[in-house]
Amino acid sequence: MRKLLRRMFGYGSRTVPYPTEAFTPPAAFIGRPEADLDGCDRCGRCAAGCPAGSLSLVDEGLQLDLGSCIFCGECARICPEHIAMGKDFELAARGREELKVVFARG
Amino acid sequence: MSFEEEIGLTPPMAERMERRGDVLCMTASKERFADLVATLHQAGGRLISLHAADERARAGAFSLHAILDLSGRLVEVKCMVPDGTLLQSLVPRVHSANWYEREIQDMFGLSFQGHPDPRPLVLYDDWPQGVFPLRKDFEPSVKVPRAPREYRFRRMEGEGVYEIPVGPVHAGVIEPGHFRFSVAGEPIMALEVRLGYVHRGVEKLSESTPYHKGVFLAERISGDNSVAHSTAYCQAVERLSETSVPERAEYIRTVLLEMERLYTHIGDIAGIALDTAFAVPAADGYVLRESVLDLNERLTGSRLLRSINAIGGVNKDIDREEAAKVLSRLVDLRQRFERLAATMLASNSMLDRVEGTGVLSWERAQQLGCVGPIARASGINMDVRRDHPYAAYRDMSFQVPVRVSGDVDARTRVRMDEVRESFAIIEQALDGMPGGPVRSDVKAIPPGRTAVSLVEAPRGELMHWMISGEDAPFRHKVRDPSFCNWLGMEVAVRGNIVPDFPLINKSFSLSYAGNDL
Amino acid sequence: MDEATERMGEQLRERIVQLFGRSLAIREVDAGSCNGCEVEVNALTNAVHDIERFGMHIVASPRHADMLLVTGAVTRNMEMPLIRTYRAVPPPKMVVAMGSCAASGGMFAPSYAVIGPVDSILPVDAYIPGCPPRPQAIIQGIMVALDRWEERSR
Repeated sequence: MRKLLRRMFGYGSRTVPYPTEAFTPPAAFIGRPEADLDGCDRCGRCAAGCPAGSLSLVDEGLQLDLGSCIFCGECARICPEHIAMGKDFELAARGREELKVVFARG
Repeated sequence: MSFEEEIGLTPPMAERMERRGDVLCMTASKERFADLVATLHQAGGRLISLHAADERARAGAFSLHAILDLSGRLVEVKCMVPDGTLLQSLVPRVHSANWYEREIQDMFGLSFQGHPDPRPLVLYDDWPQGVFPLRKDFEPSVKVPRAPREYRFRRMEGEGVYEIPVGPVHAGVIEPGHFRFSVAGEPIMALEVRLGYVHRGVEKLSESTPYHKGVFLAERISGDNSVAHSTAYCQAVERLSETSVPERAEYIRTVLLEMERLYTHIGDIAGIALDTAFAVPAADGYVLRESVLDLNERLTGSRLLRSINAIGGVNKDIDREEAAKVLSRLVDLRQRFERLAATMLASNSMLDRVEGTGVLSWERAQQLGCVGPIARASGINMDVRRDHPYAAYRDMSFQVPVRVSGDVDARTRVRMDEVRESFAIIEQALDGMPGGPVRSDVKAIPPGRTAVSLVEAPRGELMHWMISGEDAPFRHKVRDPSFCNWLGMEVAVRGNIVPDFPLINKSFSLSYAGNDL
Repeated sequence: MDEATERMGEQLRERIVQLFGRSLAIREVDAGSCNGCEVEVNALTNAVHDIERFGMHIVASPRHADMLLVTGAVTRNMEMPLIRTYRAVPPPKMVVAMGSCAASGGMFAPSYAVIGPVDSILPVDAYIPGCPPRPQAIIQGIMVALDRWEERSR
């Protein structure tokens, strides 16, 4: 026990100082989907393939509902030309509607 | 000697017998079904699952299926059950059939005569009579009205005996479930466990979820066993479609399955320290768990190892550099783990709390059909990785720890030993990983086929069983290891004092979500 | 750590004390989660994420709580326990819906056994996307909820 305590004091601070400092997740981290619709032909495969039904084609472009998104990355696998999983995780909002993000058509 | 002669079956018992891969499938009449299953059980067959399917549209009746492990051989017994048939309960002869029959009653409305406890299992106090969700004519989008009825708990009467109801919302960060204690002073006389609070209707949802999306649903059956459930699901679909998974993908799956075992077991071990008020190693243990979650993320992008399993293999490869980094971090984590384990086991006050506490005897564990570390701590030598190898386990060298005292101490030590084996397996898998692709194309899945898939999840034997439909499963039966083990809690707490209940519960470490589906 | 970031940490601590007169007491309720979110809520209290340094702690009873952190799509069987837990929280109180299931019903929304997202039962002050949200995302979500609270008390 004494040995363990001595070692634990030797570790120093292991606390990640978020939010006092910005946090950069590891390179592989799957954050929220990002879309660039330049050249998108609105085939709709991304929306059809989303397991949570979070993507839908709207007049303005492509709507992503972060409130139902399960961050699985299927959309990026279905359409790597236009969709990639980003690194953003600070996604909390006060209103439900704020979670609906629209990517403007290209 | 034929199989039937070997196990003492007289020929008329099974109407038909055939092989499906490595599973021996028997069909019996509905009158002979119970006798056949009971005979197989008496011959040493352990009941893996008992479930039904609604095949009235295709075959004019419900089908009832029993899956057993008969000394390492998988046996499936099926019978057709027309609507309105009164079936004979298996429970008097096969005790572990208890909850399965109650679940079939809730979901399909099939009745088992002679069941000692025919109360509803998952459908609740206000679920109307005569509405059975897994029947094909139940429309999931129609809102089911509430019709209050009473659920009678088992009562214990006597002078000085009083009831303590605990839950469903518990004092810690834990899933909901109800525990009703009968106590006389401090010692617990009886416990009744009542679950079903997080029943989300997974099996019904699965029937309308296309196979490739079903992987994501499987990951979310019991969140801390995402890899185990998704592997079992993928394997079932791969068998249905006769898709062979590339060897490299099998190795990657093995690494993921063991990393999941690492973080869940280390969390459980830290939890034992926490529940014996041994705060210093508990804090260290949780930081160690965090290190594994961090390693999971560096390897796959997901702390809980999600979004990497896929039908036909895995979505992402592990490159050489990553593998080398992981190996070196694992060496450090292993050293930290050994120091943590040594500190915990050197403490007399902790050992005093865990030795002799919450004993589950070998006989009761056998009767109840318990699986996993809980069974191994009560002397039952079983592990799917060794007994029915899958992924790359055939190529791995590892031990299966078994202890006999059946107490909190044994369960904790079994998990500690399993952590050591997991470190070793991950090392072997990363070192010996073959080259090649990581995913095969999935062939078309013909409807009407059946497949079973077993995985050793951190909590024990996990089963996914499926009858294929057009684009989605026609029937998907999920049997989480926790479903087999919850009744073990009722036995283990008897005679122990109430303050030891959280400790015993933590030593079982069961999933409520996996149980409830 | 430079002066600016240290001040931000101080400000967060001060804000919590200002709003509540003491630290923030959080009660977690699993209303139908798969238990993935519970792994991350538990991670909040480990030494690496350590929410206690902000004066936030997880309490055993809703009667001691300021905030309910709710996970899971509300199941039919958890509807009443969730409502009773909410009623047991003395005002002023806040509700944070954590994860895809709590925010929208997630993958379980179409099920016969699920009532809906948390906001179909309780008023929600903040939504935290994720499946499950990582601990830093939960901390950010709690902060967003605190911002709203500040508006409400004016």
